Amino acid sequence: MMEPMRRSSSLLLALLPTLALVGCTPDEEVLPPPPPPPGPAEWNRDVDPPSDDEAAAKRDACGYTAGMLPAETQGKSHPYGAEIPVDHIVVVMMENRSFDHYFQKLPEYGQDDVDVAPENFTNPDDTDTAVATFRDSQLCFVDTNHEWTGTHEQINGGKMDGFFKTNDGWHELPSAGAPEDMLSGRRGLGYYTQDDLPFYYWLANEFAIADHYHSSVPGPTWPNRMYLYAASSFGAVHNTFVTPDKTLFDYLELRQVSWRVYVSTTPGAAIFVDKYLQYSKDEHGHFVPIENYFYDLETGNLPQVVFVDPGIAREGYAQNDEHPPAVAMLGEQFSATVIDALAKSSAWDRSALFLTYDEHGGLYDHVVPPAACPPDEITPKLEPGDTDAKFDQLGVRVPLLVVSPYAKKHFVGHKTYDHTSIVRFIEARFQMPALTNRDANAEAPWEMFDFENPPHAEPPTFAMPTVDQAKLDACKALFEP
Amino acid sequence: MPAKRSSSPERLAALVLAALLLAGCPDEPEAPAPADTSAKPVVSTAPPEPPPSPLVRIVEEPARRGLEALESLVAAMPQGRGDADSHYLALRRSLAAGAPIWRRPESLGGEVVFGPPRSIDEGGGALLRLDAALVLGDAAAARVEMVTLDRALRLFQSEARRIPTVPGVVAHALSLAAYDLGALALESFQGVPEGSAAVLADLRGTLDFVESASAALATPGTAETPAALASVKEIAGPLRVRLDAAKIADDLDDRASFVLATGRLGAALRRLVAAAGLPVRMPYRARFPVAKADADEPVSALTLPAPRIRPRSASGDEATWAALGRKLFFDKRLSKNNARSCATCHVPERGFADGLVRPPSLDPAVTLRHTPTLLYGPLHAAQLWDGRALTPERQALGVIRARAEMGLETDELLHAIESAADLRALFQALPTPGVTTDNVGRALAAFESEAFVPGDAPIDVFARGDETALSPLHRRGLDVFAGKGRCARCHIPPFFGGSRPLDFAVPIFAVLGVPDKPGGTTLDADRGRGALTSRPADEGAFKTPTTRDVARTAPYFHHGAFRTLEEVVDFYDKGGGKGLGIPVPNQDPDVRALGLSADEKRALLAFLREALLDKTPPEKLTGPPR
Repeated sequence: MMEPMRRSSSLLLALLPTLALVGCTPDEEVLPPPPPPPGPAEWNRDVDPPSDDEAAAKRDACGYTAGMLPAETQGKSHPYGAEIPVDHIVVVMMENRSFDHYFQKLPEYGQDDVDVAPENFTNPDDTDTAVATFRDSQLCFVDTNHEWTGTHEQINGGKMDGFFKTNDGWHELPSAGAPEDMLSGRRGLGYYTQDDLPFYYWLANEFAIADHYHSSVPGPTWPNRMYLYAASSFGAVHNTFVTPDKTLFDYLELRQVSWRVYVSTTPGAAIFVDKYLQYSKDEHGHFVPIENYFYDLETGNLPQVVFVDPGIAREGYAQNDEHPPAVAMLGEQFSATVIDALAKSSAWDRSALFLTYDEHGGLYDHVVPPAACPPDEITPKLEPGDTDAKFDQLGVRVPLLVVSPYAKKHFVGHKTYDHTSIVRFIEARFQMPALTNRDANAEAPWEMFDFENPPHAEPPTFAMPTVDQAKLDACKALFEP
Repeated sequence: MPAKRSSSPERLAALVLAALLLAGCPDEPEAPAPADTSAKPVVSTAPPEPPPSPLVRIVEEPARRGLEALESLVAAMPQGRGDADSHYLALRRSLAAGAPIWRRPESLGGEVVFGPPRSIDEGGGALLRLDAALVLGDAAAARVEMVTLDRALRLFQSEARRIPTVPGVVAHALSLAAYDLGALALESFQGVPEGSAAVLADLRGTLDFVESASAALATPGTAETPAALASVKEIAGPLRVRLDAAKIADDLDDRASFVLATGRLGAALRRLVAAAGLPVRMPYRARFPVAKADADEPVSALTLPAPRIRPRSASGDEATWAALGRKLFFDKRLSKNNARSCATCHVPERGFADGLVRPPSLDPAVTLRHTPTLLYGPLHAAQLWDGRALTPERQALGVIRARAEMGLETDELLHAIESAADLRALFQALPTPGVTTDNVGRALAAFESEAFVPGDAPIDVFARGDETALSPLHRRGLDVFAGKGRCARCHIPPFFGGSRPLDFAVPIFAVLGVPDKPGGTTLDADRGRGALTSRPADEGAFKTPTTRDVARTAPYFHHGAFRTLEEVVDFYDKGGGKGLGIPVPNQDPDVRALGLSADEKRALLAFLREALLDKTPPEKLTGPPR
């Protein structure tokens, strides 16, 4: 790793290895000091980075605050700015799957260094009979409870035992004639295996997966996506509009970092309506149809920060965002297409793709969400009957996969992360300060990368997953009889 | 929609240049692509906007009109109660016209406006909260919701062109919109506003959607669409005339016939959808169909649905299960010391209730709640007064096990059946042979589905198209039930109980503040659902029972303390517990003083007693053998 250094002139130093590679002069003495990157002057301030231990201890104590640069919070062994050999950060956030629900069987399929629910994990039903987890053969099970209150009742003070009760009878039937047991709380305890999700199991074995990555809020889609785009939900605990003072997009604009959201339907970032309407004007090219992602890759035009959205905000079994009742394999296919195009493009060499889920969807997980740093002074906007809680606990665990030439091979990261860990990675790469106290105290998933010896300089090839038409037809019969 | 392709932002090219200058090196890592932008398509001037297609317009127009109305409302906020303000009504009408598209589950913005998809905790969205704020004349609270609605409408407007609605989605919405129109006319629709003027605005907006979407779907259309569209117009026209003639929803006399027409409208719309070559969706299947083809079935908000299907492998052998269930229902061997059968408390001659205030308890430590009727039980989304069992199977097994009721532990129950040769033989003859609790529950549930949903009350005959089935008095009674009496907000037709179409899977609970006796001023001590969930909102909440066959199932409420329907109507008319001066902080806001006239009460009571009374006497429903 690099020697500790003062960060003020680090950009120059960081460029050196690359310059050397391409045959530019390796002699730093002759280069004039580069101008600082665009943006507020204080973003380029001199920093004396703390040691890794010091930084970790302070993060654990929520000691860092909004406005602090990653160089001030991550620890001096970690790269910063252009030292991070990644020019394209791609974030693919899918919907509503917990870690155990997807990767319960990962130890049996090649990766045993991973924290999954014990074999005897159960949740009580309404008569306090223990209900076991099971391999779910239903591919379009009815949506499960992931509201603020429902999720808190699932966590139940750390017992992680509310996944049956909160889902029993919750929601409505797919159609009037559908079997009533589709509303049973048991559906919250189902898992899939490699036979169901071959591509995701392959990814988890080939690249790096985190097994303590949590959603940011024990609650639904919008608050969690707000954390991805702004490191706070500004009080929202339900799917509701808020007024953010600043978002990641604003910082990227200030830094003049190119960014683009590739959308299949309404983009996730539209939850910040005013920002979305402001940035989605055609002339900006910030929000473009998903087809452009593939075109931009072909033509070498992938921006620096990229969000790729599946078809969110449309409920149904045939959607590709993995949000129940959507058939998970459709989303898996979407992700595979997105990753395949990246791997085959010229952008691959200097890219990092994060594949994750907004929240657990109401599906079981056994890891107790740890404490979290409240992002700001804004308290949860609760409605009558809501669980009285604060933004001081992470949500239920969800998968995070890192796909990159620099992603460690067959690796499991065990540190605790949430959505703002991705935000912090973006901030670290582009030397931007923390938006809130949450990302200020987040650690970027450094352990999942090897920047010195890229394990996947040559991208591996894989088989595109397929979706069984007979199973789709069975779901169609349930939802559209 | 063809892919809209644009080059990278111009800024990126600038960055490339800056980076090159900065590092003096052609392979500077900041630059993801060489700066040969000339080779790529460059977005310069935007092409002229094409005129919106009819499908775009049916979404864009309501958004535009809604924004205009909102702007006018902001400019002139009403003083005092404002939910009849003309700009507010225009806003509601616009939102109702877009709702069939915007209200879909998980749609961004739809949930914010209309509330989350249905769940046990039914919650309102910004529109319902705005309505409440305007009713109270709370301008500050109203403004908060108006900001939200403004954002949602701008999002809807922007997305109308960005992601045009596809014909299939419109067809789906149209297949169901007529049903919603009928449910709105009965004021049983989820999120129905407080005031009668606002209800009318919603009705008008929903009909706006029906008219504009059906026309859009028929453009350009097929050879069959013009005739199908003409028949839609033929039915929609008179409904429009009735809505135009009314100033508030309460002016709509004879809502029964309005709802009946929405059933015919729904069938006409589904024929149009089919003519356009798109898949149709039924609201649900009728228990007693009148049409040959499903799509032609005039399902309205008064049409009784078929009971929900339990998880069964084969449905062809229901009769086998039901026959066993019938036998078990009357069999005292299913109780401790052969003391009682299901029929001991669910007495056929008493409408499958028992006519008692409370049934005798086998456990001196336990006081039981009043026995509810089992009639239409299979349509309840939850069973028992506190809803602790979701299905009739669970309810039946729970009662058999309860020490105060039938008192057999699971092993005792199985032993009782095993040791009765006649019963054991019947269990072995089941499609899934064996003496199991699953089979007991399933048999009893099959029997209930077969026997307890008669559907031959005047309201059902009327809903199937016989307009003579309801007298003018009954129709006035239904108008009170739906309108001024606010009954249908919880006792939702066609079930007239607390489970909501289209799937009847979500139960409704309400806090009424029922006193210990009629006219009393002491709140009954039963915590109801609160004892189960410990949520403050559930303290004193009970499941909304059905009012079908209510004339047969006195006395009333969970404690059986109200002997007559007059007492019950009087309790609601006074405004529930609060109206009697009892402090009930979490009383359902829909329960408030009604101010019914003697004439209105008379009509309401006649409707309840006669129009909802099944013709077949309940004791005839169970059939032989006893």
